[in-house]
Amino acid sequence: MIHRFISFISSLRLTVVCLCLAIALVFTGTIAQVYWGLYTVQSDFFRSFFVYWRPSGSGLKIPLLPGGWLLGSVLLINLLAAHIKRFKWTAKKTGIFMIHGGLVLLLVGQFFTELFQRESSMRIEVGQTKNYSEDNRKNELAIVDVTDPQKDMVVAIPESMVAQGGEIKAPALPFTIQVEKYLPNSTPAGPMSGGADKLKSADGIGQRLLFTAAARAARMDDEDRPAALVRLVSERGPIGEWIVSTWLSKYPYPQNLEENLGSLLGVSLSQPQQFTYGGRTYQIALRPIRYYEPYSVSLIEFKHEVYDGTDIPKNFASRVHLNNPSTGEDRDILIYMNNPLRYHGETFFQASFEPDDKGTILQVVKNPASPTPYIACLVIGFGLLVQFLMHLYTFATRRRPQAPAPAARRPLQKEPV
Amino acid sequence: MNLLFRPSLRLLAVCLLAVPAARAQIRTYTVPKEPPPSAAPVSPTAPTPAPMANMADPMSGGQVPLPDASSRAVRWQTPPGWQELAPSSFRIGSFAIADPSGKKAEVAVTSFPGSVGSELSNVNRWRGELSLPPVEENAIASEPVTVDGVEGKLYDFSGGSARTIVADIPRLGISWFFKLRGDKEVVTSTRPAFLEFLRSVKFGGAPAAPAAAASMPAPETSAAGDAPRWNPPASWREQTAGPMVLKSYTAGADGAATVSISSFPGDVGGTLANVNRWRGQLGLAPITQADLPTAAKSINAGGGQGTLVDFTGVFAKTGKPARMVAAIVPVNGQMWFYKLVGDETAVGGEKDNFVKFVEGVQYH
Repeated sequence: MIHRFISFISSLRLTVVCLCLAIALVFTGTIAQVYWGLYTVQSDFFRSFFVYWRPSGSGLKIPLLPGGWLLGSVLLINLLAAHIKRFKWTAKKTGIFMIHGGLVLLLVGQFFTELFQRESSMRIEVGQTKNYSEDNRKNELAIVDVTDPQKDMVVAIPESMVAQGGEIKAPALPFTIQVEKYLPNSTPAGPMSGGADKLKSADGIGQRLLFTAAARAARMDDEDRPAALVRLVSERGPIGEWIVSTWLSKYPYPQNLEENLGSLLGVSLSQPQQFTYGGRTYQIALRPIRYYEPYSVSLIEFKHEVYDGTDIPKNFASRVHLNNPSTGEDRDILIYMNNPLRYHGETFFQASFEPDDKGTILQVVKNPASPTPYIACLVIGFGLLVQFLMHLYTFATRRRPQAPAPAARRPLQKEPV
Repeated sequence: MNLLFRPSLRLLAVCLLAVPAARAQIRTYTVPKEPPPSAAPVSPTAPTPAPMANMADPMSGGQVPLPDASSRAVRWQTPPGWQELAPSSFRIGSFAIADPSGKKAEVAVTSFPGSVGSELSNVNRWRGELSLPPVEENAIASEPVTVDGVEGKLYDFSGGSARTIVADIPRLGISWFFKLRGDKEVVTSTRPAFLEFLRSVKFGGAPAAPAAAASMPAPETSAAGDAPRWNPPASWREQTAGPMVLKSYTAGADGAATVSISSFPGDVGGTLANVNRWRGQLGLAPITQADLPTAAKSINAGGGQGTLVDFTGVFAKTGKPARMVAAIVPVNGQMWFYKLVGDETAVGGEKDNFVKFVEGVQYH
């Protein structure tokens, strides 16, 4: 039985089937991007074990295709299994080993990229100091105990847990969180707006600003803005219920809503929703995931230069001050287009800026596995070169013994008969 | 060979299981307080923002200063010949246009959360303003328009001697309406300038300072901006207003009835649609335009005519018998809605107070 399994898992047939399925996955995924957008397809097709079909209203999940993770894992197992099964060290196969080693490194590197890569943004106004960046796409339900005048205690619950609904218990909180309703994408709504299932809460901003479900974002320049109705319940009974949404926490949505609707709503959207329980004060928000760093970055100056007489940008530059108490670093750095800051395993790119140039937006990319594709490509390229040279050598050395053959066809010398 | 296989497969299994595990964990951590943005370094011990409960409600009173051009959420270049009027709490921009013969048109810039009803209801509302019959969804005609890189729709309606051109621009959860309406000749000659005006629009701008409104003193009986002034009866008790409601009071014995006031630009679907909306809230069947004169009566309010209705039914919110007395008052292109709803006896006892209150509201 085990031998049959090993034969199957190490077979070339499995490799071919996986490659064919990968072609089908890439093709369907590319087509699906038109309708569902890049990020949904990346998540549903390539960062999943299966691609599911969910017939509307049935609640069923029918697997249609193997997802990127499954295919990548099977290909990796297949490649390793084939090598382990047939492993026999010979100098002649050095190139092949290097090529396959490079492929393994590529797959493993991508696996670690999936696990550890993160892309976030750091938005800093002139004169402001930040020691965290915010994830570009992932959110968290943050309940922050702000009672202490010096520091905040944060309990951050991933949005994926909120999306599952039900009850969430965090050991650090003296109450439980009940997710009554979750909208993967939402839009603010007034009482006369369309949409039957509007979110409304008994406490906080949700008393006056309603939210209704919206179609998932499909464009590259768009994003989902989730909203949820959460109720906090203690042993003594309900504490209250609030609507949380990135509409109320992620720049520039609350600022934009407040500019346009502030006087109409009669509440401030730029202030966090806050409540008191057990003598402690808490804030609650669905916000982008925050990544705190042991160092801080201050924006000293932001420059936005345009070509004379036009609005066409010529240069964006942020002069920032880096302070890292743990290493004693305390220096100014200029970040501008194509000149990022690489520090502490992260790369800070000049990405955008705030209206009126009053602040900068830096894209912060962290990928500990980022060198692996380069190393893998070098190893594969070198392996191909070795393989080619070895074949060339063999070919060249095989021709040499045949050299005398033409001699046999030398013109006959005149010999005495 | 198996010796090599088993650890490899185990390692892979651990790695694959680690994927979901690494993605959904509650994190708990402590961070120093974040200093607020400031041009100067700010102490990390800066006080926390005031809780929402302590914030003054701009709707509850205070003269909210009109936004100046630098703090507006939208900017534009005013075409020559357009007279810019002071914006109101609902109109972000307002312009008057007149030709030498005295014919007029106006441009209004408004914004609201969400889609403000369906496209069909908006179109039929605009058509209704020109006394045009409603259309079906598949008969809606529009042309694409782009305002500051945001794609929207441009509608153009003509009815009688009037014409309306509206650009509907959905941006970041807010519907922006740029509406040119007036005498047909003026609107026709202004259309190129209106389109140029749309091209000049830039969204963005500096965020408003909410603290400015919060720190204003709160007079007893006035709403924000250029909202009207009213004097509620002494027996009414103000309560927290719901979404989009400007003011709310409890009335009657034990607060068994509720008064709410709201306002929206345009005709908000027209009198009939709103009367039927209220009837629906009491579980009553809709009426037709022909029934309206008997179902509603006119009142003098705001120097003009308002509409008053009085229905009894079962309140959908509570499932209990209820009575509703409600009024619609159109003032300067804006609809004011006043509603008294609750227990039949309480509403009956408060009806006179309510009607007197509605008739006594002073509009600017």
